[in-house]
Amino acid sequence: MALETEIQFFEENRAHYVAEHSAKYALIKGRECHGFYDTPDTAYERGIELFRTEPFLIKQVLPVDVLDQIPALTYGLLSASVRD
Amino acid sequence: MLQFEIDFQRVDPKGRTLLGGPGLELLGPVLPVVVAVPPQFVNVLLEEKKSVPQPSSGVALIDTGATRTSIDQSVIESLGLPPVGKTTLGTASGPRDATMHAVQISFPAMGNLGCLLPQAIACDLAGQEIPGQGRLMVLFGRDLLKRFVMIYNGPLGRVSLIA
Repeated sequence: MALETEIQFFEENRAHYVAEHSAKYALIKGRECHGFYDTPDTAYERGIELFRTEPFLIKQVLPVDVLDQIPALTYGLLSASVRD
Repeated sequence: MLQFEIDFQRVDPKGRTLLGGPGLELLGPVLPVVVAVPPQFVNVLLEEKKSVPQPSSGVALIDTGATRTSIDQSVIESLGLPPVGKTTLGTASGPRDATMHAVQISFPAMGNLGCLLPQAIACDLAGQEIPGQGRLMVLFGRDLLKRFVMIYNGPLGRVSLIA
């Protein structure tokens, strides 16, 4: 899965990120955090400046992730799906 | 302020075209949409002397039940957009991971009003056609809807979006 390293790094550091940067958006590439931003838009703009066309992770700093709900997918209402 | 009406029409027994009818109930609030590479990403491609993928046009269905906007996976792939996040979704076959991507989304019927969606979900909407409207490409979620006032007028068969 894409961004595995970045997600693992975030999880290792989630507790102290929450203590110091709650609700901000972390910008992570590899095993390095490149700052915390007020919005995902500004985190994206900085990520593009730094990493150009490479993948990077934008992750909101919360104690527990808020799950995304898309009932059309959950209940198969549209025959839509998420690919493996 | 910009206001856009999604109207459905019916023809009465005298042959007159009137607002209303079952269209809104049957199809839901749908509107034309264009999905493109974000301007910031375009600048990088141009600096690296790479070609910029062409935007994709289709139909968006406003989905007030969706926390976040979803884009058809094939569109994300055709635009060559790398992931910038991951989320877990409940699906009919259990929880599944999905990647998130930054896209530029715009609405031709609203004067090409557009915005950056920094973390739209990639999902497979292949084969989803909205009768008489076109290919379903976007499920327009509440992350996008929070930028609008929406009025759903069932009896009149009209949805108003005010930006």
